[in-house]
Amino acid sequence: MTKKAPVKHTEKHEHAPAGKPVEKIANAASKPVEKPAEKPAEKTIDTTRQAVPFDTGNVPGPKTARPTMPAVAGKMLAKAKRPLLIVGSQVHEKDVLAKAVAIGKSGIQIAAVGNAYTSIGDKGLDVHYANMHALASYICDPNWKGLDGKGNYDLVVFFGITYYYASQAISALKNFSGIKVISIDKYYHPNADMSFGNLKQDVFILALDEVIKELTNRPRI
Amino acid sequence: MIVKKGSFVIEGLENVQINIGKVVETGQAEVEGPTPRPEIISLRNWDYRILDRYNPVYTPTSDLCDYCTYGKCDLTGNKEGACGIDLEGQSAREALMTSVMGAACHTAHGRHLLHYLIKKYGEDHPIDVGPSNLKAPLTETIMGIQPQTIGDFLPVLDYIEEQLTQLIAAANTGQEGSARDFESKALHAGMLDLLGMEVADIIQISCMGLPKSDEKTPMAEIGMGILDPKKPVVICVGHNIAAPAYILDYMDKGGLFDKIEIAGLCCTAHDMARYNKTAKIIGSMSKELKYIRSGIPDVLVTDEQCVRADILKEAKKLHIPVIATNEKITYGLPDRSNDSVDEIIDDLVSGKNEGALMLDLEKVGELVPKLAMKIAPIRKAKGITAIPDDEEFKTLVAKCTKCLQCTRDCPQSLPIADAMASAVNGDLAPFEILHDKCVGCGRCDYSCPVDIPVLNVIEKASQRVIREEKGKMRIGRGQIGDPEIREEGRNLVLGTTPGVLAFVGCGNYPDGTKDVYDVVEEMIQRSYIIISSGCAAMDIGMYKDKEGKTLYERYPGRFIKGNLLNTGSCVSNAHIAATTIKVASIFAGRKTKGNWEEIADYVLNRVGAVGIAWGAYSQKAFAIGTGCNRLGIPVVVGPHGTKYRRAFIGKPYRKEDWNVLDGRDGSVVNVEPAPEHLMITAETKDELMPLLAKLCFRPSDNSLGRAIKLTHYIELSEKYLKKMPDDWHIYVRNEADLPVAKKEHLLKLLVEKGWKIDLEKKKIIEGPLRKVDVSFQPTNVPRLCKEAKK
Repeated sequence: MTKKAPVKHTEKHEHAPAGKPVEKIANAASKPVEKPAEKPAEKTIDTTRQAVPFDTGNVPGPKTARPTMPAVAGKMLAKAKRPLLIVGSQVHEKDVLAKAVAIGKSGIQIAAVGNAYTSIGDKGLDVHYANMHALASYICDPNWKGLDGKGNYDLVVFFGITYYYASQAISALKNFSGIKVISIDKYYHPNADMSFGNLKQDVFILALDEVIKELTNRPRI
Repeated sequence: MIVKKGSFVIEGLENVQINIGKVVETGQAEVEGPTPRPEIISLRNWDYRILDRYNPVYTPTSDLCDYCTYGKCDLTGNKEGACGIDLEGQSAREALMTSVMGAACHTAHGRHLLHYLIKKYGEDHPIDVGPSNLKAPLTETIMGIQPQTIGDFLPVLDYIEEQLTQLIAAANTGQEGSARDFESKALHAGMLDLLGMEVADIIQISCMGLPKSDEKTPMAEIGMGILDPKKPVVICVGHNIAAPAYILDYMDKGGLFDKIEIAGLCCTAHDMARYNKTAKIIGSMSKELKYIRSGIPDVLVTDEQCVRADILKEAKKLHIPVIATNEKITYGLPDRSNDSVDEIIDDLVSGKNEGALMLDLEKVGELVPKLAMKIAPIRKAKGITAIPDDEEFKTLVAKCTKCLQCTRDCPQSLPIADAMASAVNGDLAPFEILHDKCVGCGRCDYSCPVDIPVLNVIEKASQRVIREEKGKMRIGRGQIGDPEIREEGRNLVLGTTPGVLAFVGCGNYPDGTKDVYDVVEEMIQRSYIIISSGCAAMDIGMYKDKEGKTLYERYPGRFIKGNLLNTGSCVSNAHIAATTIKVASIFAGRKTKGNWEEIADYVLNRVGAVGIAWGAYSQKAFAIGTGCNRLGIPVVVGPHGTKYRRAFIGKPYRKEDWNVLDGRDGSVVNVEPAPEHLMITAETKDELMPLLAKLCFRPSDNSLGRAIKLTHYIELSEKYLKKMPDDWHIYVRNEADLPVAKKEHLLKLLVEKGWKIDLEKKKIIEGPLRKVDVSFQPTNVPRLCKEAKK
């Protein structure tokens, strides 16, 4: 497990000459992760098992995602000031879509990448189409004003994106931005800061329920 | 006196001999631009213009650098390694090396062919590519010369090889530290790749009788189900026609086409069919392993490039002899080039040797058909195949423990265990679906903990669809002729033809081969010009409509809107890029020789051409794409393309990035983001189609053209993404830009966006970024403005 980078906001990076490494933004939302992953008080879903890259060859380097429990991811999402949920072409399945909609209803903005908009675009949520590759590039730009023009994000959470595609896109965020990234997908994503392990579908759905449970205090749509 | 090449002595001067190696023709057109034979740095300013707008976006597959013994260095978070390079620089260096590798492949291919063709036809063999004055557009634009004979390409290859050596040198430990300059070098390598491809294809077209800008080439049969497995079967794998041509000639002379089936896998298949229309095509590299394991081939002939590294190992298991015909792939086989054909055949048929390296191509011509005739009866009598029989199949699928390891190892994450479970119950449909999505890599075989030969099981279960896999592909035509450009160039620049979409590259599709067919069908019905090459051209021909016709049979092959062209093999990609040069030269009268920057600037701002490599996997595909980028052509790759680790993505929200100059007076004009990106990926075909329409916008579009392009952008987005594009209004400059059928509705939407509209008169009063100016001459190069010229 990787030790978190020291608290420091390094602006990055587009035309910057070879400079200092990018370090993660410390914010209120990130505080809970300072603690090691803990077993929840009541026996629920353990999403920290099978924390190995789902694609067996997808081993990026020494820094890999901290396996996380749904409640921790949910709390971080709940406390983030400007979070973004990204969903992709694997979000169409009824149960998965329902969870994305539930998260959206808690007021979290959604980027629908790939063809996700076809399923989630008509649910009355704050949802925007985006190209995942371009979105990753924009998020790395500290001067970007976000999908709605109100500013860049402090936390990116994602699920339902083609595995290798998501993994590559977030490798840009990992290495060239200060943003925190959490995978709440059913696959372990080593390039995220925190990630669920590889989950069976039913466990995945239950885990998303636990994430959603933590969002009750966010303003509802 | 006519001076010729050669040696002569001068009477009276003893012991003096004069050697003339090259005669420079008088009348050779003069260099017209500032950068003939550009060195690494010559076009750096142009590269910077591109890179400042289309920022490199790095998506590393590895956070480490292990290039040298300082390492491995952990570069996570853009840290510096021991030599001082950071992850950004390392990623750019990877982009350079990938481009160099691709360019080296095509150039080495060209060098091999040029050696062979000069030996056979002589240096003075004239270039003949069809009805064109601009015979070698890339050579002219890059080298500043107008080649007339195949020998004129010798200095062209010398130049490329020298440049590639310089570029590789820059990748050594330390040295270049700027990611931006690594990218400039990668763009240089991409440009060299286009040049190398042009040389390779022009010389084979000129010498070997391949179609010359022929819009009505015959159809070739294509698919895994087209061959008669009862006959001896020869399969040629790779990219280089030199060896297969001898086999085809031998068979032609001997009247063997009725007795032997001969077909190709990957781009060799394209060029075999261009050389002799009797040759057939199995398909892309994705079919290599599957077809070999079927046991149908009796002889495998390899040349170079996209050839699986395990062909010999796989063939050996099935007693299929392998004849390697190129120095680049020798598989550890004994060099039998100086042995007699009969002796080699005896050794191969008896099993003494599993294959032979044979660099004497004339002998290849004789050896392969004879070998096939002799070994086929033996192999067929034994019924050698890797595919399980019915009983074995049942046992194998029942063994599956559903551990999902195969899915985790599969590049496409295919649900193989689910298909196994269905097969246990006699339902093969899930496997048949997998067959189309499977890229035939065989990684699943290695991953199975209970040793199920997964690929063979997929193939066994899909026998019904494989037997029906019979398509048609129009044989590669070569270049687009000058007369076609004259006819269509104006429509393209003004935008009334919505765009040229070039479907190229390999078969690593995210969701099966049919996606390419679907996208092409949609876009061709919308009157885009579709050009194809390589494996994409093959896959387009694999599907039929309800009447049983392929797209090639439904749409003609001329360079006009709503047509479907196949230029040919990988190296024929050069003609696709070169078409934009022809538009700049023939339609707009731009000078070409040594004038890359001006031509690329013209293409970027005025020619609505986009490349699509939906299944790109190879270094070659990356190099082609990067070369197109330097020429101002945007490229979209499939989601696997993120593993190339670098894209060029524009930022539409950064207004200052979209300033161009008006060539008439050098004034700065802030334009719409057109084209928005130079290299980007999409996740699905639904996302791809509106993206393609958007990338065809150019600042030079006239109102009619812009309205047509906008119509397709909006319609495709509504059809496939179920939404109006968020940015459609950015491309509206006045009311004439609006699609007529939707004008009222769109004007109302513009009111909602805060624009001032006179709805009664249907006039836009205030809102657009800029006005339409039919005389606008967009350019990114200050020296091309008239004021600067003065």
